[in-house]
Amino acid sequence: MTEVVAEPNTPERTEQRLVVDELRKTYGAGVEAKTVLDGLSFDVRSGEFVCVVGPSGAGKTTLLKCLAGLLPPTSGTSYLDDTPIDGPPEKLALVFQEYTRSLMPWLTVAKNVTLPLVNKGVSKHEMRKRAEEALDAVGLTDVPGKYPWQLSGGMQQRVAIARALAYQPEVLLMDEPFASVDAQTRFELEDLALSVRERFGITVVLVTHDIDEAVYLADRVVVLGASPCQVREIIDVDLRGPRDQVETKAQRRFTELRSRVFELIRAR
Amino acid sequence: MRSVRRSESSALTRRLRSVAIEFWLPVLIVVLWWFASARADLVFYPPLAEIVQRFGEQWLSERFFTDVVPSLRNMLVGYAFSCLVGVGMGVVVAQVRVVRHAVEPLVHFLRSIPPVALVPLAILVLGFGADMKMVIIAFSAVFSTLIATLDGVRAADPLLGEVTKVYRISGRDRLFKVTLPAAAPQILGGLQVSLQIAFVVMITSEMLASTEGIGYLTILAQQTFAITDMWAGMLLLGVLGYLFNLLFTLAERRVLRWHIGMRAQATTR
Amino acid sequence: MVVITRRRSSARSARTVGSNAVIVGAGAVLVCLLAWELLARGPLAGGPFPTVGAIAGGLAGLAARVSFWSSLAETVLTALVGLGLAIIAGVVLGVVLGSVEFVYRSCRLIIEALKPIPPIVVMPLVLLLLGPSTEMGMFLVFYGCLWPVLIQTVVGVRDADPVLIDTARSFGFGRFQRAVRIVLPGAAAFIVTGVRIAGAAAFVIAVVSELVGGAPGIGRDLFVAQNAGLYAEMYALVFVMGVVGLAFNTGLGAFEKWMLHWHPSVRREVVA
Repeated sequence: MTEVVAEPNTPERTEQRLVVDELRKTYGAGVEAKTVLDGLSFDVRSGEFVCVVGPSGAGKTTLLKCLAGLLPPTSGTSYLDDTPIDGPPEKLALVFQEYTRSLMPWLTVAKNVTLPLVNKGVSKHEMRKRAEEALDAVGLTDVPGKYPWQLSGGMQQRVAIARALAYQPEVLLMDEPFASVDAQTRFELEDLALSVRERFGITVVLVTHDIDEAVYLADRVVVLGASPCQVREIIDVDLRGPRDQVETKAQRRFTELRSRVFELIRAR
Repeated sequence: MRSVRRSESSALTRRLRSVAIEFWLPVLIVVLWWFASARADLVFYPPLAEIVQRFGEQWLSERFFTDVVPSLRNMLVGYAFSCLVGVGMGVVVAQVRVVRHAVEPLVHFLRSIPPVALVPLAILVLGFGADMKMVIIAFSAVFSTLIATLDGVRAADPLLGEVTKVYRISGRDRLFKVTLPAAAPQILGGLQVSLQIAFVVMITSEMLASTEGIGYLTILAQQTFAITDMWAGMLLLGVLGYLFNLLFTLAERRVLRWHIGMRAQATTR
Repeated sequence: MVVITRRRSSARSARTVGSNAVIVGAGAVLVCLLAWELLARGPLAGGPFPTVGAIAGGLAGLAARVSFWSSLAETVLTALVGLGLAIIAGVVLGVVLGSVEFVYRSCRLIIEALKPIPPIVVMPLVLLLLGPSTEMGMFLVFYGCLWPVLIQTVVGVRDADPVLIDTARSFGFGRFQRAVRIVLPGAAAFIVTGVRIAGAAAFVIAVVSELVGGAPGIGRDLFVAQNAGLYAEMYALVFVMGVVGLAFNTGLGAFEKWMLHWHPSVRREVVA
């Protein structure tokens, strides 16, 4: 709770892109009401990579659905560029955990990537260019004619990320995007997420239950407590140098941050 | 070089063998029927050669235009209507809960009435004309498609709905690129049943109320003991039933190529 | 504890949704009946649309006649006997075809050719041979129901786990024992689905054979009522057919669910 003010990693003016203000979500009513989100507040600056980490069943997905405008909160508001979110915002993309289900199996990879651009005033030429660039960014240049189900899990999630990138969002939300792939692929995709942020200069909010992943990826980590879910603490990740799966994770600071997050999550 | 040629020739013999296994029995049956029916003097089983000859005289003459074409036209117009209405209504009804709750019991009851039993009522209401036939074909065939579309749209993965919302895919794009493809396997199943119903109702409507059409001529031949004509009619109806199904299956395979590929992948993995 | 309460609450909400659906559905039926009544009394009076009351009267008239009940029994019997024979023949033939590759491949084209030909097409010949009789109806039901049962059985038998069959062989089971103890139980799920598809067709075919072919039963009663100009009775008969058809469909659906409750993965129909 201490270091929310200063931000050493971003030299530019701290521009708030996403603001979450006292967000509350309750399912049901009366005696059977169940509060999932209990007054969450935090903000995300432009170009920042924020990881939201919390125990399983804490309501992380509910939070993300509220941010994506898929679910109306019971009270409180979130803002994207000072505009309250009351439906899916135009400048926002979401990558789902279930890559097999979030891609259209009847469309080829290229068609999946360009699907959100159809009838958005994007020319055919521009569409092809964006798809190529997005697929290039995720390292998939040789599969545009294939169907998603012909690809491995990791590659399918790359397609889902490419679809989000081609949409050219300002904010990219990711819901446990790497939870269903094997460990090796997961490291590759984590680095992909970092490189994509670099290349497109977008703001990323990634939800995960994996503490290592959160600390490794984030500029700041929002730690959530168990249900009903509240913000336990927001931690600045002050790691040296560019992130590297071996070097970064070997830093003593990485271990310290990791333990800190772990203790926060475990605390009752 | 030699080994390549040998493997080619063995592939050829294997191919021939498999064709032989698939075809020997059907060919044998037709040959036996041909010769046995030619020799035996059975009233109800005229020589196959005569049936084939009558088939040519009966159907490949001006009868083709006066009887075959109207039958097929009635069926195809009726079927086309039932497809459009069934899929269209199904998509709409599936998405509005109150309408679905209101429509479902009625639809399930109407579907349970044997389609053929509606023909006498249609005669009562609409008379004996071609429009009656088209209407009754469309009406009886619509329910399978409607119910299949309803189920297919409702069974679609809710996650796809969230994807379309996040990426603001709406209107026609959502309908044609997400909703309908997602429900396509079920919808095509319904369309196939509807096609069979349309075929049966076409025949029945002609048998019960007509002075033209393939069904009428065939049942007339049976009633007047024109046995060879009856066989020729059955032959034509059989060929048509087979062809409709074949065409439908081919079209379905094209439309559902992704689905077939995906399922094959799932079973081999 | 939390889990239990949550489950209970979801069950309750499901129940309220269910009862809402029943109310809305019943309401829609009532509205349709009302609309029918108004049309039949008003703009369409005297035409081919009897009032709801008249149809109900026709229904009551039917219920009071013994001949109606015997017709109904005749139709149901025709459907059930034809279906039963088709199940027996379909399963036996299906096991043979499914387990002997040569026989299967020899017969494949014949099955493919006959499967899409509906019973009404062969009816003229059967009518010639058996006359407008119950046997004619039973044969048509048998013919129509044979294909789904046969094809599903073949698919189920060919789907049998080769490891299980090898195991049985290593126990010294003979061909017949293997079929009865290993292959048939494994294929049961497929066969049940085939029976469900066939059963839905059985009643429909029985009615066709009566209405068009003149076999005794409620289908022929409908034809007679049409020729006698008894409109209300025609509608009443069609209504009865809907009820019986619904009973067939629901009964078979419940039968399938009951048979397959242990085997949810094989609920999809196999398109062979």
